[in-house]
Amino acid sequence: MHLSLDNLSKSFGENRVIDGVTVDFGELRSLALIGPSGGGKSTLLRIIAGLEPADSGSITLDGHQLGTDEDSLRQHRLQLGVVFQAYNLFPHLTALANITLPLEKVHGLAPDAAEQLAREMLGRFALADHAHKKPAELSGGQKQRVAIARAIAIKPRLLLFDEPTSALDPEMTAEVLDVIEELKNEGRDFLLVTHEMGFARHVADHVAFLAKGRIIEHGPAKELFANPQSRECRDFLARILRH
Amino acid sequence: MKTWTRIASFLVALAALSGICAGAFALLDYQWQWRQAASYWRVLWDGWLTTVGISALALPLSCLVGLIFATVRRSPWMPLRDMARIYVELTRGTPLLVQLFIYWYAFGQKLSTDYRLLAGALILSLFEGAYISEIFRAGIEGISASQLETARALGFTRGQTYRYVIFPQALRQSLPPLAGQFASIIKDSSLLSVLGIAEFSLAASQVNAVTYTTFELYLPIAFGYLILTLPISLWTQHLEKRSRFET
Repeated sequence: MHLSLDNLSKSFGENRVIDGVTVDFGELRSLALIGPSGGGKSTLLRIIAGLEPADSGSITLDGHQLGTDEDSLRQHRLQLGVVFQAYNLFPHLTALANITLPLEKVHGLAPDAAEQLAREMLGRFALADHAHKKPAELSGGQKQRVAIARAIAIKPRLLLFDEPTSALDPEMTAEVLDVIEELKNEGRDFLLVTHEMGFARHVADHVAFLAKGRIIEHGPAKELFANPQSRECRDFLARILRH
Repeated sequence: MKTWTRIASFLVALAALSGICAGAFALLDYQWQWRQAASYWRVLWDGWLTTVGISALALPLSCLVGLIFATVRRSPWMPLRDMARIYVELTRGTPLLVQLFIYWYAFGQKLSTDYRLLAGALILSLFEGAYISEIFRAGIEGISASQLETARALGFTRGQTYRYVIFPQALRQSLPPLAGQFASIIKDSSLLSVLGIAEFSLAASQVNAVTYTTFELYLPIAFGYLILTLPISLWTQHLEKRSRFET
């Protein structure tokens, strides 16, 4: 993907969450957004996902500038796979139906084709036995893997992970991180907001550090973690890695 | 063992209440004339069937009215939302009896008697629909914002979000209070007697005017309503239990 932001701003009331961000990440496969809570990471992801309109500025993804009207935003959204912190599966549908519903209703697949694809996805993430369970009957890790299966079933051009492991215990975190790493090895493009620094370093090509609504610095993952340039980023990493 | 205790307890309670009622009637020194009342069984039977018919019409109709107003209250256009809100507040704030007379003398009077029952069921549905719209509204508002966002993220249109995400869940949430409202509809249909619709309770009062056998008529009438409302009430309890386990 090629992602660039031009003077992007977003406020909630008095609170300037994204503060005039201009950046061109260039061509890359995977980007991790890190930084302190309230720094604007999730908001930035939501704006890129077309879920939240920016107040001003623009986003260019692979040479196309994002529209601002609902129709073009919807077109944009249905090419993306978003995975949320709280899984956000539909509680009234089985794991299988959670995957087939968007395939059928949004992407126009025939019911049997959608089911076949969904079963393939579930099988791939070792969830075949859980196809007919409702989300309430699944563990957190299983739910998040169903959510990932739902996101990639539509063959998105870009995957967006919004703190996908924040609600999980360490064992389930590992479960989900394994899946994300697998997707990276497949060559899927993704953007990841995370608090798992070790994982960000390991899985992302490129890392951007956000604080107070600005991208303080960004660069190849190995470099940024080994040798952060800004004081904010150094302090942040020192605070996090101390424990 | 547990089931037996349950049944025994129920029978004891029933026996105690029956005893109290029997004692009260004994004190009244009432002359029972069941035979005289029973000779009018046909009128009562027709009345009961009419009540069943009105209810069968009013249940789906009031749900439709409720669904329309619940959806309009979420319309993007504010005057439309306000209209629905005013309607609901006016309807819930005034007695059904008063509304029946107003609707009836404004619109229904000119109808031939064939349409009376239909008009009565419609007025009843407009009244109950206001309550049901609030039940649906609560069900819709109980769906978390994150689900609506997920639907958006997946590329669902507004209509698809309602159809596949909101309504199925809202309906399930609404079922227990909705079932309770259904029982109210059946009972409230007795007020249609003031429009001269020969439903169950009007039948009783007409027979009573001839026989003066009040208890022999109204006790069976109470029983006739219970046959309709008790299963609904039991169903409601079942639904409430089930939804507790699911969430």
